[in-house]
Amino acid sequence: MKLALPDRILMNIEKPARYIGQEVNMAVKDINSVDVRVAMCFPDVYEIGMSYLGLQILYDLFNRYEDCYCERVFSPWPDLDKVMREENIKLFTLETQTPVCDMDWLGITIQYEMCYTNILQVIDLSGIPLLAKDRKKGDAIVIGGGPCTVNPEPVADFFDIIYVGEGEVSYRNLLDLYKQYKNSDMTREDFLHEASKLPGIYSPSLYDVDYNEDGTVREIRPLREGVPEKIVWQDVLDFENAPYPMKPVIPYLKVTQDRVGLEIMRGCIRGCRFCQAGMIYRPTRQKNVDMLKKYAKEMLKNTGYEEINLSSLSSSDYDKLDELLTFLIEMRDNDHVNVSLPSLRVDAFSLDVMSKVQDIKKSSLTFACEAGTQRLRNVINKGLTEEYIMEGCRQAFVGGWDKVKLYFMLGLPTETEEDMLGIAELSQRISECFFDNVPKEQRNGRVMITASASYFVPKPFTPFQWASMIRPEEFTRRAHAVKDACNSMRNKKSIRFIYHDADISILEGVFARGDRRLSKVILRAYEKGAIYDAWSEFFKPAIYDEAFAECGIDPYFYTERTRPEDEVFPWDHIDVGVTRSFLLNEWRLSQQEKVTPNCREKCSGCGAAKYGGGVCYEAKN
Amino acid sequence: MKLRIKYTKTGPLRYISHLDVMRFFQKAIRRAGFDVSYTKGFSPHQIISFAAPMPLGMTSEGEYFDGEFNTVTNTADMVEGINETMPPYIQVLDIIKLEDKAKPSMSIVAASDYVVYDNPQSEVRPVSNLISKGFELPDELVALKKTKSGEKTEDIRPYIYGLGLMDTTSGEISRWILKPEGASDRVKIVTPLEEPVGLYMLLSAGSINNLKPEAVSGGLAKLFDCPYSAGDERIHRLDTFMNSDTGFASLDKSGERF
Ligand code: SF4
Repeated sequence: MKLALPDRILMNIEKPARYIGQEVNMAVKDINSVDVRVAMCFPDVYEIGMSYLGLQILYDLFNRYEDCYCERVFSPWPDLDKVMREENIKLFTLETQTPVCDMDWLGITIQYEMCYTNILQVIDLSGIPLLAKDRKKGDAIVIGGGPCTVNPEPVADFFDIIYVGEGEVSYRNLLDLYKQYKNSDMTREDFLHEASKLPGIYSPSLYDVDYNEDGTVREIRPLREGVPEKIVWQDVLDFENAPYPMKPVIPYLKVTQDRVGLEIMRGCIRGCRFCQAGMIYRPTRQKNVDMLKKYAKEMLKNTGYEEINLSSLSSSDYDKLDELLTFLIEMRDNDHVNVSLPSLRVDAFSLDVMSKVQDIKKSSLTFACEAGTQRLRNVINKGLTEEYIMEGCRQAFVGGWDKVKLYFMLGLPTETEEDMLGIAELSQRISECFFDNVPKEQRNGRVMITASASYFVPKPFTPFQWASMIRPEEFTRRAHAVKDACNSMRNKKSIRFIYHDADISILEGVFARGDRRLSKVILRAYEKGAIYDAWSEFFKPAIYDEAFAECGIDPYFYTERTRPEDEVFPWDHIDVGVTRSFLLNEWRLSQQEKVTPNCREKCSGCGAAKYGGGVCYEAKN
Repeated sequence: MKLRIKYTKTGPLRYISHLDVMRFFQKAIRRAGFDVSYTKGFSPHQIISFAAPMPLGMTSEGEYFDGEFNTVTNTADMVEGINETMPPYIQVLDIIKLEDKAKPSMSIVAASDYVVYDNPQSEVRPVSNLISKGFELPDELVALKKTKSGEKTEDIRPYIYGLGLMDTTSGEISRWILKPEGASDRVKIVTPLEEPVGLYMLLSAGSINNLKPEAVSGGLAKLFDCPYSAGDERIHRLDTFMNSDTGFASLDKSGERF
C-alpha cells in the first residue's frame, strides 16, 4: 500500500494514523471490477467522523453493492490542511489513497451547521470546483446527506445533489441512474434532472428562489418540467430488516465512540418542541429485541470491543429495554463486555442497571430538564416533572450516588427571570434532597450538582421554527443571572453552573434557518480562512463578522425575528412528513403553555403516519 | 498460562503509535476468541504486557508481548486464528509457552537488531553514501543523547555490538564492520524492504542503555561527512534479544511452541 502522503509529512503532523486507513474491517475491493467509486466524507476530523454510527451504516450499505466501492474521507486537521495547500497535495481516500477528484461521487454527511466551511475545505482540497455550477461532466458528483439536509439552502450552491432522508432508501436508484449517465453522452444537467425525479433527491440548481422586498422568501419553484415541487424526506419503513453493519471498521486511534454502537430505535415519541431529530425521524421505529441480541453478540465478536453502546434518541422508550439490558449485563459478567448506558429515565430499574455497570462513586446521574420551571417545561413539551426528578434523585442518593448533572437551555420562547431563577432553585432543592436522605455518616464528601446551560437555537421543522433567538449578549446576561442565583443559594458550595460558547451558537442559528443567500457568506468566510468552526479553538467570529458585512447580509435577520405564521420558509419545498399545520398548532399550544401527549399515549396526527409504519400503527397490530 | 507472542508491524502501520498497538491487540485477542485472563475488580482488563515501545515511523518483524491465558489450544492454531482477524501489516509470527516464573519480556530486553536503509522517498542517501565511503567504526563514536534532564554527548561505541552491510532480500551480510561473536553471516528477514542494501546493526536495547539506530547512522554520517537527516533513512527492526548463557538469544527462545 503506497500512502498518499510522504514520510516527511506524516512524521511531522499530529496523529498520522488519521490518514492511512488499513483498519480492521475496512472494505477492500478491486477497483477495476466496480462501476462506481464513492468517496464518503464526514467533514470533521477522523476521530469524530469514525464515531458516527450513520457513516458506518452507509459505508456498509454501499459496499454491499458489488458494482460500487465506497471509501472514506475526513477533514484534514489544520496542521495537514496547511501543508496540503502549500505543497498542492490533493485530498485522498483512506482505503486506496486515491485522489478524491478521481472518484465518481463525493458524498458528504452534514450532521451539524458548524461544519459548513469544512465542506468547502474538503471539496477544495479535492480539487473539485467549489460551486456546483462550475462543475463539468468529468467532475465528481457532490452529494450531501444527513439531518441538516432538511434545510440545505445555505449550502445549496456547493452541492449537485442533496439526498433528503435516511440513506438506506434511495441510493440504489441513484447509482443505477449514474451508471447510465457515466456510460452515455447524457449531460450533467440531464443527469441532475433525471435524478431529481427520484424520491428524496433534491438538485438545488433546478429550483429558483424569489424573495419579497423585506428579504423573506416569496416562492421556491422548480425550473424544469418533471422536477417535483416538494422533495419528500425518505424514511426506512422496514427498519427491522434494514441492513446493519455487522463488521464496522475499527479505528486504530482512540475515537470518541470507541465501542460497538447498536441502534435500537429510530425517532422519538416524545415531541419536545425544540428538538429537530424528534420531528424529522418520525415515526418512531424499533428493532426486534431478539435481533438486537444477535447483533450485539456478532458485532462484539467481529470487532473485539469490550464495550457496547445503545443508540437512540430516547432509549427508555424502547419497549423491550429491560430484556435487552438484562441480556447485556449477563454478557458483562461472562465475557467482560461493558455496557455504556445512554441517558435513561432514572428509576429503580435503571439505577439497578447503572449500579452494575458503573462505578457509582465516579458516575453521575443525568437529567435533561431543559427548563427551570414546570411552566416553561410545558411550553417546550418536556414531559419531565419536578416530582419525577426529585424521586429519581432521592433513590439515587440513597443508592450511593452523589453527583447529578442537569441540562438546561437558555433563551427558550417565553422565558422569564423566574424561569432562570428556577434553574438555581431546582439545583438547591436537589441538594437539599441529598442532605435530607443521606445520613451524615454515609456521606462521602458533599453532593455535587452541575447545571449546564446551552443556548437555545430554533430549528426548521420544529414548532419553534417561528420563534426568535435571543442575541449572544442577552444569552450571556441570562447565564450570568443564573450563575448569580446559584451563588446566592444556601447550598451554593454543592452547585456548579457552566454555560456554552455563545458565538458559535448564534451562527448555528443563522445557518439553521438560513436561505440560499448565505452560500456567499460561507464561501467568503472560507476564503478568509474559516475551517473547523465547530471547534472553539479554531472558530474566529471576526471572520464571520467581516464576511456578513462584505456580503451585505444581516445575520440577525435570520435569528431575531419572530416569524409571522404564514411566512414562506426557505425550506418549504422539503416535506419531512410532519406537516406545517401540525407544527403551527404546536407553536400555538406552546404559547398557551399546553402539553401534547406522546405518540403512545395519543396520536396527534402529525402527518408522519403517511409513511405507513412505526409507532403510528403499533396499537393497530 | 503465560504465553509470549511475536508479531510484525510493517507498511503503513509504522504510523500507528505504541499505545494504539496495545489497544489493537486487546481487541484482536477477543476477535480471535482467545481465553485471555482478566484482572479482578470493578473494571477488569486483560493481563498482557508489551516488551518495548516502538517509535512512530519504524517497522518491525520482531515485536513481543506476553499474556496470561486460562486455556490455550496450540501454537499453529492460535497463530492462524489471530492472523485471520488482522491486517497483513500486523501479523503474529510465533507464540511460545513460558515458564510460570518467567520474567516479563519488558524486563529482559538487552539488545535489538535493525536494518537501516535509505528512504526511497528522499534524494539524500546517507546509507549509500556511507557505504561508498568504505566507512569503519572508530574507537569512540560521540552522539547526542536525550536524557531526562536535557541532552548530553556520550560515547555510544560500547553499545554497538554488531555492524555490517546487509542484502535486504537474502539477509546476507556482505561485509562485517563489527562482527558479533558467533554471529552467522546470514540474518533472518521476512519483510520486503524498498532498498536492496542496508546497514545491519545490533545495538544495546532495553531500559538501561537503549541505543537508537539513528544515533549510530547519524554519528557515522557526521564523522564521514555525509549529509544526513533522520527523515532520509528508514529503520526496520529485525528482532529483540535477551541475555543468555550463550550470548544474546531471541525473546522467543524463552519457551517452546506447543
Ligand atoms: S402520526 Fe401520530 S403516532 Fe405517528 S408520529 Fe405523528 S403523532 Fe406520532
